[in-house]
Amino acid sequence: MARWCVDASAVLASVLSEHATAAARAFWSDLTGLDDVVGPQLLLPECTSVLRQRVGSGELTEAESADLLEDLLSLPIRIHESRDQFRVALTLAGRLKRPKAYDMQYLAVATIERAELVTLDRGLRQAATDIHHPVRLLR
Amino acid sequence: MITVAEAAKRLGRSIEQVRRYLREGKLKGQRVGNQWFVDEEGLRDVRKPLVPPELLRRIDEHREAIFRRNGIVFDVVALIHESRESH
Repeated sequence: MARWCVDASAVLASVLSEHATAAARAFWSDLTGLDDVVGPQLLLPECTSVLRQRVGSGELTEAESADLLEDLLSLPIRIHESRDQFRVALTLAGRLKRPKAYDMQYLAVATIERAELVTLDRGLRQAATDIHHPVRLLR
Repeated sequence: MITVAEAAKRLGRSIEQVRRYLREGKLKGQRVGNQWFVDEEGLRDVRKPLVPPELLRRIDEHREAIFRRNGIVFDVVALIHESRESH
């Protein structure tokens, strides 16, 4: 499969120092023109929010958060537009008995786009496995 | 022009994948009768990195500069969950 659906962890691990940064960097550097990277509409708001909160906690400066945001906005990620992503996310959340539907947005787009899900999140990996959807855990 | 089988071999992908790339327009090619042929020049283009190396270098520089300043190894999954909890 040459279509990938990335979650916020796969994006943030490439711009912030993380135990999985090397794996995230390798993922991005191995992509070629045959690959297509997609994410749900939730992706960029989640990344932005995490950066902002790290400014609030004093771990990042305002300028650093702005640089990191520009970096991640420069990654070639196509944002999935259809409203079906929300319908499918809600259905998946019910099926997998999730109290919230945040991570289901990623799985929804992965299924709609027939894309392999890429994440650091073991819970999301398990959810994908539970519905027999291909997933790559970066670690 | 080369055959789909040859293109698949050079790209390390399956014949089905190469046919899909042709249908999606990711690979340039030509259909003669029932058979597809792949443009060799286009094949070279698609092997180029999707993420420009200079962008990866810039990201590395920013990330490493921040780590030198604050010494923090983040747990991004925990940060994302924390962010969701606060909504």
